[in-house]
Order: sequence, then C-alpha cells, then structure tokens
Amino acid sequence: MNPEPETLELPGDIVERLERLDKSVSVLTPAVDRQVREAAAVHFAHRPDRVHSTSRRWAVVGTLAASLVAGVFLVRMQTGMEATMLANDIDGSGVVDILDAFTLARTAGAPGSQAEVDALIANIVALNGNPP
Amino acid sequence: MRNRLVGLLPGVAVLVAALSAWPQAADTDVRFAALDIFVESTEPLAAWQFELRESAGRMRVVGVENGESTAFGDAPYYDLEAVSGGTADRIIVADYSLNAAGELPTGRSRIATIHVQLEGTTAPDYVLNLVAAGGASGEPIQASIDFDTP
Repeated sequence: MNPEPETLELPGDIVERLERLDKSVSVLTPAVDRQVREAAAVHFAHRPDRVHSTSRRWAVVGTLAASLVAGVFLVRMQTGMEATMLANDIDGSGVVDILDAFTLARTAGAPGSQAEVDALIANIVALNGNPP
Repeated sequence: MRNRLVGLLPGVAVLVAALSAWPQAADTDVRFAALDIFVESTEPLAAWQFELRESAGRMRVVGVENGESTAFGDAPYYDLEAVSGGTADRIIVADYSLNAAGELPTGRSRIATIHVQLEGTTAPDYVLNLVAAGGASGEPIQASIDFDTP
C-alpha cells in the first residue's frame, strides 16, 4: 500500500481567513509592561482598600505588641512565683508542704519567726492558692 | 368559744410553717457527718498534711477538730476563712509538733476530725490523700491515712 499525500482544495475566502489568524501575536515589551504597571498603580492609588490595609497593619502591630507585653508579664509572674516557691522549699524536696514549715519551726529562734511559720502554713493550706 | 379559737392560732401557725418548710427540706436533702482522720506510722509522727474532698463536690467542710494526741493539742492549720464562709468544698489540713520523739504518736492515731455538710441522698465518695508525713527530725516518713465515720 502506498498512500499518496492528501491535497486539500479549500475555497479562497477560507484560506484568506486562516492566513489572517495565523499572524504572529504581538509581544508585550518591557516598556509596555512598565506603562501598564504604572497606570495600574495610579488607578488603584486611592482605593479604600488602602485605608483598610493601613488600619489592618496597625491592628496586627497592636496585637503583636499586646501579645509581647502579656508574654513578658506572664513570664515575670511565673518567675516570681517560682522564686517564692523555691524560697519556701526549705528542705529542698521540690514541693512546699508542712515539712518545710516544720523545718523552719525547728531552726527558728528569733522573735517573729513563729509568724513566718504561721504565714508559710497559711499559704500551704489555703484553698484558693492550691488548686485541687 | 372565740378565746379558744384565738388560743389555737399559734399552734395552727406553727403547723402551717412546718408543712410549708417540709418540701424544701426534702428537696435539698442536707445532712451532716463527721470523719475521724487517722494516720498510721511505725515511726513517731511529728508533722502531717492531708487533703480531703468529695469526688462530686457535694461536701462542705463546716468544722475541723484536733486529734487525740497531746503532742498536737491545738487546732490544726486549715483555711479557716473558706470554712467560715461556707466555700470549703475540700480541705487541706496540716500540723506539726516540736515535742521530743518519745512524746509523739506512733502507730494508728486520730489526728483530726472533719465535720462536713453533705448534699443529696447519694453516699459520699470521699477522697483522702496524705500529702506529707514527717518524723521528729523533719525527715519524711512512711505513713498511711484512712478515716472512720462514727
């Protein structure tokens, strides 16, 4: 089998229209691209979104600042509580309980030391300071 | 006749008041109980701390008494403000004694009695934990805790 090349006979107007479509597409040059970008910037310069984005930016900054302040406050508070706990952990057991107060009471002798012991035990038995 | 009726009025008033109060008392079902708390140790007990609560929070501590040992003669330490204010749905109680080891309790000893107010008709589920127990020189000692409801 030897197939011969197929020849298409098209009407002239169709050939003419096909040739028009086959023209190369015009390419956007960097200069045109820049002009379009500048025109767009001028066009969108006064849109309300710009105001919103500004306020949104401030909101983000404010939130971050508030988070930072809260974080610092919590860390300092926790550090303070840990320092107090460490100060009251007289027997070094890692927990503050009656044995710390007992140790304090056994070693104390100065006037007012009983008040310190009582204050320590008051913290130990306080219900609002010792979650269940 | 009129005098007789007037004489009956106070009795009727008391009866009406009692009848009107009856359903309310039946609804709330408030009752009181006492728990004797015991610590048992083979070594002299110089310091102790425990926590008592009711698993469903149906308990209010209304009073705390000291135990039987003369070494712990005064009332133990607890949150008096919470108990007085009626907000103590649990209690942490602690005490220590500076007495010599020979004067401290050994074995099973009643260290406190807790008076509680209970709500509802369900049997209370008490949760009692010995937080700490110490000997005469301040060292932790092995001990167990339990309670009786006299």
